[in-house]
Amino acid sequence: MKRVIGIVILMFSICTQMFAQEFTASVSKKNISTGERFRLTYTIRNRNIESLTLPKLSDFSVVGGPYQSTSTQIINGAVSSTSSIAYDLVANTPGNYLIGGAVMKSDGKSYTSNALEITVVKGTAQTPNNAPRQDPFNPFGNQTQKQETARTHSKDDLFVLTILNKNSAYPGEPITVTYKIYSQYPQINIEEIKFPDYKDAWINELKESGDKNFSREVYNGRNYNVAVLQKSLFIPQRAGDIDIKAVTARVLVQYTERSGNFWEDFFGGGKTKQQRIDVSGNPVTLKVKSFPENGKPSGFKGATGDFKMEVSMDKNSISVNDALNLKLKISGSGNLNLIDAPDVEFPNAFESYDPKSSEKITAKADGITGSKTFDYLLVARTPGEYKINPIAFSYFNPKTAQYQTVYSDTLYIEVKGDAAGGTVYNPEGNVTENLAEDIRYIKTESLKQNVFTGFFGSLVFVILFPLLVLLTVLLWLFRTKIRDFRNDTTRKKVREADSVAVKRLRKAAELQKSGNRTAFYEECYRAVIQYLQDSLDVELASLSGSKVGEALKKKNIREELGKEASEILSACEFSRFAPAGSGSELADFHTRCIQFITQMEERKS
Amino acid sequence: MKKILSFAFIVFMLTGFGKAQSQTEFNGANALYNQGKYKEALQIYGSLTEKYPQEFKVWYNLGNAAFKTGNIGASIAAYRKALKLNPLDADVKNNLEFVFQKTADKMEPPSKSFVVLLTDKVAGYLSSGEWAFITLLISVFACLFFMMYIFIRNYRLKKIGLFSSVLLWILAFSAFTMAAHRYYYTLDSDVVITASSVYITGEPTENGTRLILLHEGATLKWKGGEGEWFKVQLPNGTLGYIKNTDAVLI
Repeated sequence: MKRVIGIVILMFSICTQMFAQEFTASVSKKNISTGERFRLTYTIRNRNIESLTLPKLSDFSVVGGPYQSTSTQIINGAVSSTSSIAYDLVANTPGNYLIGGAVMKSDGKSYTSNALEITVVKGTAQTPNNAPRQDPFNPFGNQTQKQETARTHSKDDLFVLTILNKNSAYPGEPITVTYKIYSQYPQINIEEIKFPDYKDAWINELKESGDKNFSREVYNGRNYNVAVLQKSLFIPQRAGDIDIKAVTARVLVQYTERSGNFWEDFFGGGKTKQQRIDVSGNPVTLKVKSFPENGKPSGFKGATGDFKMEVSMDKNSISVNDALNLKLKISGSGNLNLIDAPDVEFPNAFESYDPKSSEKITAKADGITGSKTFDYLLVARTPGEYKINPIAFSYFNPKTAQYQTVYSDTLYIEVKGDAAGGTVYNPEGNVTENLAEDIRYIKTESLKQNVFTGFFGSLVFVILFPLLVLLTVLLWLFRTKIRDFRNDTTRKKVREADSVAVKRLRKAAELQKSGNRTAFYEECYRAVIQYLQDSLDVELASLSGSKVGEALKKKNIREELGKEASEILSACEFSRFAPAGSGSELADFHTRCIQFITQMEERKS
Repeated sequence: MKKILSFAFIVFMLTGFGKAQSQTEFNGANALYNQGKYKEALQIYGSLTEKYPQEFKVWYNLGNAAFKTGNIGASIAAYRKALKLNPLDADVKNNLEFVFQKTADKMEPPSKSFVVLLTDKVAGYLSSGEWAFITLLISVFACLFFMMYIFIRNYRLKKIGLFSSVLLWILAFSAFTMAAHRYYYTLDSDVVITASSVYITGEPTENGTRLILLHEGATLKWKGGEGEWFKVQLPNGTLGYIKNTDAVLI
């Protein structure tokens, strides 16, 4: 009996030893937090796994596996092999758990693994694996489960990363931005990618980007199928923080749902399922440094990189009105596509136009290289020798973090010919041939000596013209005095009219006594007509006696007086040559004249 | 009496002969110009301007000959003089503009007001002497009409006299304005630079401050003289001096 017991103990111990040595279970960690992924691995030596029955794992979720691996070792002719099957698990609730032994069948024998004790504490969603990066993605927030039977999608299984080659840059310094998709699924199909819009930056997609060829890559200790979604050159345009937004993609994944049966799982049994998952990458902030103010050249216009400048002219000597092409070529690496033409001062003798620029650039992952050419068109307008001062081009070199300025040589241009004629360049595109312009022909008409030449300054004009003006002005100024003067003489005549008449009549009386009849009538005639002319201011001498009455009538003289005047005057004319009448004839006529003048005088008062 | 007559005849013959001779010289110079002998023609035109200083044709042809010999400054001076004498001649204007384009300093003359432009245009039809003669003629009649207004007693004639006189005096003064305008316009008032390039200095000395560099053909306002120097005014109002060997007064 003792022997039997001894054999049983021996066998049991062998058996135990065999279990312990040949089929073991292990976990990557014994203390974990909820949501943390850990790996459960079953290892067997020198046996082939035919079937594996897992213990009850209701407190955990299987998020990965089965991962099978086999290794064979030959040491000193002895062949040993190790096979393992691993599962990724996540604990759902805190507590202490015992994972029971799994049962494996091999070569008709059953093996049971050891049990494992695991402590689960309440933890954050962060896994130690992701700890080095600061929350780069949040897969649970952006993924949707389309199917009821969908298994839990782990953020470690499928995610997109935004990768910058530098975290900080100067404006104009190229940055490479790569969007990569990482997948644990054997097959994924990217259905839709949405790239974000960029502001304050110039973007150029690189050629090699987006081929979506999957390759294997190890990330955080795990193997992934990795494809590049897009690789682009990103040139920030301003200083400050620039957010590079996340890319979003809709991905169709295929996986096999485990039945829990190892065989089915291992040989591709179970149900193949499809699921659409929306994933989005991590937004990244790029720090764009501002250009240092210290030592900033005046001609700096934001060119960043490393450049060279060449300046050339198609000719050194041109004729007036000809065009000349000045080529300014900037080559090197940097933001060539964004640089502006440097300021160039041309001599005033040239008409210059805005430069035309052309660029030959290649964008690669390490930045933009190539050249940009500015063509200045100059048209010479004045002959002479001119020089163009060295042209300066300033740029910022981000590698040395310093400004640099390159200068061209001084250029000399000779403009030949005289200012007249030649071709006129039409900057709009065509060279139009102008017939040479010339002055108009000379005058060949005969010369004329103008008789009035110098008359304006001559003595005649200088004296006569002011004199005439003065005369007019004086006449105007003294117009009232002139009128008064003329009226005065008239009044005097009227006043003295009767005394003149009296004198004449007195003389007539003497003539009557002497018996000079003709002279008497003449004197009477004069006395009357003089009286009438002076007192009434009229011209009567040329009128015959009969007409005098009408003339007096106009001067408002009564009709009988006018009649009397014309009778007296007619009588004078008549009687002068008539034969002598009675002795009292002359005396009567004399009295009649006196009476007439008396009547005229009475009329006034 | 006979002596006086014969003297007058000789004077008439001399002046007539002189005139004929000048005409021959003018024709000769024109012929030289046609043959391309601009230098020789230039000399004859130059001497003719002294005999016919008021004849714009001589100045115009002088300008042409000066331009053909490459004297842009002298050419502009001659054209400006011709334009003063005959402001309406299209050929003078055209050639002056043409040569002006060849000058280095693009100094535009100050713009004139509408009234001045109109006066320029009307006054340009006659010379100052002709305008003066017309002025005198009209003012004689204006004076007579005024006397008629003052002295004649007839009311209707008085009225005619006053109105005619006022009207004629307005005309006479307008004509006088034209005459004066032309007269002062023709007087020397501008300095044209004939040296290819010259500094305008702040003082009438060789060492005066250099105010501005000007080139031939530039026209400046003449403000007087100081020995061998012309006092000139730049378009911006600055006063300066230029040596009279570098410029001509027109």
